[in-house]
Amino acid sequence: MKRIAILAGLALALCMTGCKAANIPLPAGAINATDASLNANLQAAHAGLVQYQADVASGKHTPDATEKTIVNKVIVSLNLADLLYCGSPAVGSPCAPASYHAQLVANPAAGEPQQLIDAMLAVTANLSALQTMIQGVK
Amino acid sequence: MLLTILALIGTVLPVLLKSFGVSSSIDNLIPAMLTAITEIMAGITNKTPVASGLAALQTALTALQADTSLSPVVLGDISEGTAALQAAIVAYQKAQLVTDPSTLTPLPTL
Repeated sequence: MKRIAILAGLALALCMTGCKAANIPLPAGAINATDASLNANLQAAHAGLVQYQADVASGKHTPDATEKTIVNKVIVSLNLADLLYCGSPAVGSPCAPASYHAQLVANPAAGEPQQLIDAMLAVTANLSALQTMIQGVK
Repeated sequence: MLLTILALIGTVLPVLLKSFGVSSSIDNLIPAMLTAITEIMAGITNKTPVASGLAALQTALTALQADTSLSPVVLGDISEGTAALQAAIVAYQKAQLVTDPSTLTPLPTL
């Protein structure tokens, strides 16, 4: 029971990786709706995990080995999705030339690469594992 | 996807809150928190402000924290879990205004 609240919050935060953009104006810097949606979903997942990691680092929360394993899988899959989507070497720097965002800048009609789709699916799958753990914790 | 999110909320949140204790305040706060989270999720989906939903959620959490039947450990867990959710929501809203993927720097594993 002890970890349910934390994991529920984290899972709900990560759930937003699946949210779709509505029909409203694109954010500044977005090439198209897919670009905007990918960025927003990844940003939300990042922020949720950063907050979770801050709680772990400060000692507010101490994950057990099982929780660590599952959360680490989420982090690894998220990092891969980030890399494929942008992979910028530093905040404020342009995305890596081979990344999807960089390809969109060069060609707004560029399709979403299968590798990125697979990476996002992996994030979702790992999220599902986290949800299963939440419901399994007593 | 919104349905999935709401289904998750609907199944997880009542269970976790009910499990916290037998306080009558829990029964009253569950619908309030569900309504707030539903509003937040709707706001995210429709790209509308979620400030009122967050405020309602915070109010519910404040009420929970005043519940002396809950242990400090449980209250801490509630606060931490919601903090992760709130951080995600704020980031999502910010991304509705500006797309800057360069901020997606790799996260360290635990």
